[in-house]
Amino acid sequence: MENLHLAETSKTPLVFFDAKAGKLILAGRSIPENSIEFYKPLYDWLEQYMKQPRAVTVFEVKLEYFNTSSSKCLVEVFRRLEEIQQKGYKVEVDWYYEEDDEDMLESGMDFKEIINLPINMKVLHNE
Amino acid sequence: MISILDNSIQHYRSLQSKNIVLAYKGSASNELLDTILSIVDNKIKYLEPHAKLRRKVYTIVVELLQNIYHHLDIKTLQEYILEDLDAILFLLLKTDEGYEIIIGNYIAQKDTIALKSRLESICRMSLEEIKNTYREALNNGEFSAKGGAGLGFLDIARRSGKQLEYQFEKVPDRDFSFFTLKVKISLSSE
Repeated sequence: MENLHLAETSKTPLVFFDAKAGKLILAGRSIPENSIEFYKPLYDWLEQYMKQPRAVTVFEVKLEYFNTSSSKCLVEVFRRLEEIQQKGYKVEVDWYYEEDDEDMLESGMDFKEIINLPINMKVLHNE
Repeated sequence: MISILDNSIQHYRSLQSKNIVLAYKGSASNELLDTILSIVDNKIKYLEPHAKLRRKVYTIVVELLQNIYHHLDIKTLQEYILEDLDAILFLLLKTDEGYEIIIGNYIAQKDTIALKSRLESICRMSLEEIKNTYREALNNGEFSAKGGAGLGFLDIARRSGKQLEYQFEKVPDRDFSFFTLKVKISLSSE
């Protein structure tokens, strides 16, 4: 299947979902007014990927900022990854946050609390 | 004439004072909300040395402006408050402790009760309860018809350490109130 690649904009993150590598990257800012519209293609891609996922899927989240409506959409992305895990495949989430960014760490902890996936908290040292 | 000029200069100087980062009063449009956001982004980049505080201010401003984007009914406003084009108010102030954001907009009288009770309930909660309520809403909640996630005020409350104040002022002879929200953000906001 085809990869999903969306370039970063001032309000939306870089998306690079690589089906062959089983590597999904989300990086930058996610603050669109209409988050559902932006995240819809990501859900669609995951629905397809889910049919034949890699043995291991790694989802890398390196967000600088995100708004609350994006956080709801992220839950939807995680729900689809949970489904892949339920089918017996391995899924890992790497949640990156800058060293002093307690809010981003806490956001990661929010997801860790409600999502049934291994979410690793990873510190970014460079400012 | 001279005194009027003097007054204007003085007024201009007070606006130029260091503590006003951005002040806007006027009509609202989605383009304008975008412009305010990018001005805030650019200004705090050089104004604020603490990345942590910078991120807090930016994230809260995003939530506040998008709240207006989702709920401001410009058409209805124009219909009822034609003579008053000052639909929104936005102030970002630098204070000794950090920043203060004041945002104001008109709200239909029938919507004030729900908003007031929502804010009252958030202000009654402890910070811990706010965090838990946020997680529950993130887990179970759905998007509202207007596209809001219902998480905005909870998010602002927890990021600011519950430093919220609000006010509703009834517009005489109109079914509208002017809603003002003040959020204080400091490094100790936890």
